[in-house]
Amino acid sequence: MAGDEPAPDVGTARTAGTGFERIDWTAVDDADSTVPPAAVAAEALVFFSLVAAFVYDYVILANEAPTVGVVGWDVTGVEWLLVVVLAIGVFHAALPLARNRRLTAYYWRQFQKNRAAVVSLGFLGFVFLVGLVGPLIWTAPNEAIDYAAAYQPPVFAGGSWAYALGTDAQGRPLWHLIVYGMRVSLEVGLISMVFAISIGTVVGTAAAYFGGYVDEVLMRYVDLQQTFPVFILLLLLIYLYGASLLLIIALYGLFSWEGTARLVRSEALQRGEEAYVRAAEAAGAGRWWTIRRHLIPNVSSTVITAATLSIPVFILGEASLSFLGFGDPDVFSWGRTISAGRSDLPNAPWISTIPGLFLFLTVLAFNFVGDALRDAIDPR
Amino acid sequence: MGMEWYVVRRVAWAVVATYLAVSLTFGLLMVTPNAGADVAAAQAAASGQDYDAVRERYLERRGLDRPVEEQYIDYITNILTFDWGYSFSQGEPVLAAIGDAWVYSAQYFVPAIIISALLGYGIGLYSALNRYTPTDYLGSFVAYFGISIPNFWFAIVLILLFGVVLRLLPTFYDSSVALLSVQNVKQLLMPVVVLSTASVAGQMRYSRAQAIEYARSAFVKTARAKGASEWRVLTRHILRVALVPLSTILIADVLAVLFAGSFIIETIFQIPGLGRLALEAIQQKDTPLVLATTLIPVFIAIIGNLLQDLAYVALDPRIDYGDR
Amino acid sequence: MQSTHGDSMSRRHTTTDQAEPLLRITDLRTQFDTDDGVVRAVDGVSFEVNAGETVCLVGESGSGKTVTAESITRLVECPPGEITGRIEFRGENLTTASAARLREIRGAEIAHVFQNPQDALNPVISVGKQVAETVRIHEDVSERAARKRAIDLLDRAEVPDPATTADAYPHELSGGMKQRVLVAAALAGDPDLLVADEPTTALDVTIQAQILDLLADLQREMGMAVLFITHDLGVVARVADRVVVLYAGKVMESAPVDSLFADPGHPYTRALLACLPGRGRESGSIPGDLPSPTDPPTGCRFAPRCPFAVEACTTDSHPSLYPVAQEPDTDRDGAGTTAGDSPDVSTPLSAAPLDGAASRDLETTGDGVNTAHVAACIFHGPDRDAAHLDREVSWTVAEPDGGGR
Repeated sequence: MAGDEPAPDVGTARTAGTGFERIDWTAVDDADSTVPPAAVAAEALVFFSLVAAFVYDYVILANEAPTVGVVGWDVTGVEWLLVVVLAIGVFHAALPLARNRRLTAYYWRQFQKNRAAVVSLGFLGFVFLVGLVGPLIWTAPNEAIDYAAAYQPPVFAGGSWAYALGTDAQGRPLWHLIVYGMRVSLEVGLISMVFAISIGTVVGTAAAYFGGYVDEVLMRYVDLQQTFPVFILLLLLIYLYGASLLLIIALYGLFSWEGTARLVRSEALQRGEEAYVRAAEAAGAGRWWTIRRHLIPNVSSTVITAATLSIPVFILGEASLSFLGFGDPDVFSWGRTISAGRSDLPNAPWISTIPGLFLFLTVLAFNFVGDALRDAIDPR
Repeated sequence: MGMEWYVVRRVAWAVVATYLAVSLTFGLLMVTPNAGADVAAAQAAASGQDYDAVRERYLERRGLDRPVEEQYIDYITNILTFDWGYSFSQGEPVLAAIGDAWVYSAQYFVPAIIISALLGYGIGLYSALNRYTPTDYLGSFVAYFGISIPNFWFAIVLILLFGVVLRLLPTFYDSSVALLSVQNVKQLLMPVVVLSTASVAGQMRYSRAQAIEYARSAFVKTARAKGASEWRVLTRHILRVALVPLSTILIADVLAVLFAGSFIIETIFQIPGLGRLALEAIQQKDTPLVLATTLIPVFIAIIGNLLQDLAYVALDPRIDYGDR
Repeated sequence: MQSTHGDSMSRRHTTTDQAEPLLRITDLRTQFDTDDGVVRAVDGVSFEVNAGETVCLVGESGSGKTVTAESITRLVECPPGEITGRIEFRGENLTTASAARLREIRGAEIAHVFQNPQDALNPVISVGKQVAETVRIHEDVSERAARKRAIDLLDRAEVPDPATTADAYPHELSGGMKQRVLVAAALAGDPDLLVADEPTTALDVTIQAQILDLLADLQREMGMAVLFITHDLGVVARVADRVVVLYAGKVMESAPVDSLFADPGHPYTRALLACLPGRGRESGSIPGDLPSPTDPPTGCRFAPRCPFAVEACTTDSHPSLYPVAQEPDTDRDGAGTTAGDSPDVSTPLSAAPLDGAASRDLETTGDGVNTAHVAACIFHGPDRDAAHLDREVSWTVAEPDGGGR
């Protein structure tokens, strides 16, 4: 499940001299899914190099100089976070799935029962790839301003193939705006999700496991956070500190984990009563061991579903803020493009409608996939 | 623990939550540079006055140079006594500005809530009792559509279709139209539809899931075995039990989806309601009004949650009064 | 428990065979469409219930008892369920009756008591209202009158202080008390048939006896028939007039309670009886598992677990049971062929030289197993004559334990 754990070794769990072989059952149970030491080393290496590269970018390189000189790409703070999140995804989602072929195949068969979800997954894969590498291929919208080419209709409305989806009031190709919008949505959705889900899982498990005052205090705070409408809080903070994509992502991550925490807590409370956790405790397993090896793996299906379904909420939230004019003025969020096209609605309706369609389809696809995942891995 | 003790504790919690929320806003104001002072100073500097001197005078006049604890007590007192200050952007006291604006918000907000609850529960329960039928599939499809469509984009598409192409409905809100007139209903139609779509879809999904859970339960079977009609089973048994979780979700939904929605709706349709008021306040750095428009939704949220907790007493006899 | 039955509702043998039975189920099939295929939960079940008598439907969990019971008034969810066959209640076929007609029958003529009283009452409605609901559904009475009736019914169900209890909510009552409330609600419509689906399984042993006594008393007072579903043979011995043994959606055997206990016909029945404590060996379980509900074995469903199975058992022309008791009309094989076309069954098996538990130990030699089986079952179709011959062999009842396989 987690790549940063030392690989349990059956050999070390045996103690000589007692006459009995003490067998670490979790190690035995997980024998086919244990993380090979190579993966742990690789992950440590990747994260170390990321930190080093980040320090290099911010301390040694001048602020203006592009990080990757060849393509002229200056990595921003949000992009650094995205890279970290992607690395986490590789080590904690992709690799475990690839290692555990049989389980993956089983989940895939369950998932495949939902056709709409399979199509949605394909669409999300497309958005992911284009959002990731698209900005390296197509020029930034602001470098493509061409007033001579303003208000070109898309190709299906009589436009030319040069601007397949048309252009906006400043002659920027809509496709470029959409590609850069995909990047923004990717960043908001994935980074906020990792933030929110991590905090929610930790808080929920801790509340369930420690109980008593810890539970009381944590859950009271969750109550309070739930009472405070996130959107209003965001507006207030943006008012006070000014808008930036990093702030929006951080705020969504920090202030919308209460649902996950509640879910995980109730799930963990239920699981905590089950025999295997009690058995682990009776066998003398430590608290953190029990939490990490028993509780967290067993609430993971709940967490994965909650994670998938939280992504569209964040994407929609950021788009709404940008639409209202509270987004980061330096990035081309879909919400911003839609808002900009509003005044041209009668004469150039494609400027607002086409990015909106992408936003709609992305959110729809996440909802389909999330529900299908719930049916596949969380059958209750 | 008795019911009275439970009620007292819930009310006490609401008071604590209010206090914490007010304190939080104060804390945020303290740690950030005063936007209003900057605006005033910048204006003064533009007209040839000394920037820092004007800024200091601005702070002094508002008592912002005093010790923090003094300011804090003042702040809390003012909030609690409804002395919420003067809005320079509206040119009237904050509460007066809010008093003018809320009517416009309520006009579309209240119908949207009623439609969400009635239509959402109605379709959801119907789908639950007619699973695997075409109506159920259509309902599920509509629900996915509703929760996924960005409301601002939906509004734009509707304006394009009904306002620009078909010319059936006005594209923006005209506040000079009489409250009780066909014209007013027509111009409120799109805002209400846009605002309630996401909420209706949410209620539909939850109520369908809840009803399916209860439709399989033993007590529903008992009711059927007594000869109860489907309608009776639905209204007297399923709905009665499902109302407890559903009302929680409705309140959470009203607070989250509709608040955020009202900003967007009022911007797009140019309705001079609370959302627009808040946005103008932010744009013009009108701190007292920003605070008021932040605190009002928070207070509404706290009261909503309190009402929800109290509704449990009436809805669910199983409630464990000692638990919370 | 068996020794205390005294005057309970058992042992009232009905002799009104000529009259139309209250309920006649013929070739009932209930299947469910699931993702894993079609589950035939009930697959050709036939039996009858006469007015005033108690019929026990016995079987392991998963044998289709509950689905059979809930198919009667179509309480199973359709779709995904699908019910075919004939369910005649006073001559009226309920499988084709309209939903409105079924609602008239439910509660007023056929009432149900379910297994788990914990979940069977609506948690947010007072129990008095839930009892009164039956009255208000079927009669046009005021709320006040319905409440009075409910209190009266609670009193008859021996609920202490019924006027106060009527205002209580389910979570304030004990399990046994909830079951009394449910019995009161079931009887509120004065039904002619009470379908009691494991009404005591979820209760403490002492409470079980009380509920059984209550049901027996009320049955006598009200003269209704009871279809009692249970897996507990102790309960069967206590309450039943006749017994229908169900296995994997099929009737294995049906017989009056006395002859069933004395001379179980089908090897499955014997296996069930062998599981009872105090039957010569410690109580145990039947080796093997229930067959797959989506893909049941051909032939006799019990054959894969049956120590007496012969090859013919696994084919469609498997040995069919013939009636063991003196009541040819009521004891039929549910699997297809009825007693009517087996003229050679006049010699009841109860004439076989076996009577008590003492003689149940037997010597099972290599082919002794087969002999015992053939004695219990009779071939029909082409092999009938051969079977007839084999039946001459004297036989004893085998304890089908694991070693016999």
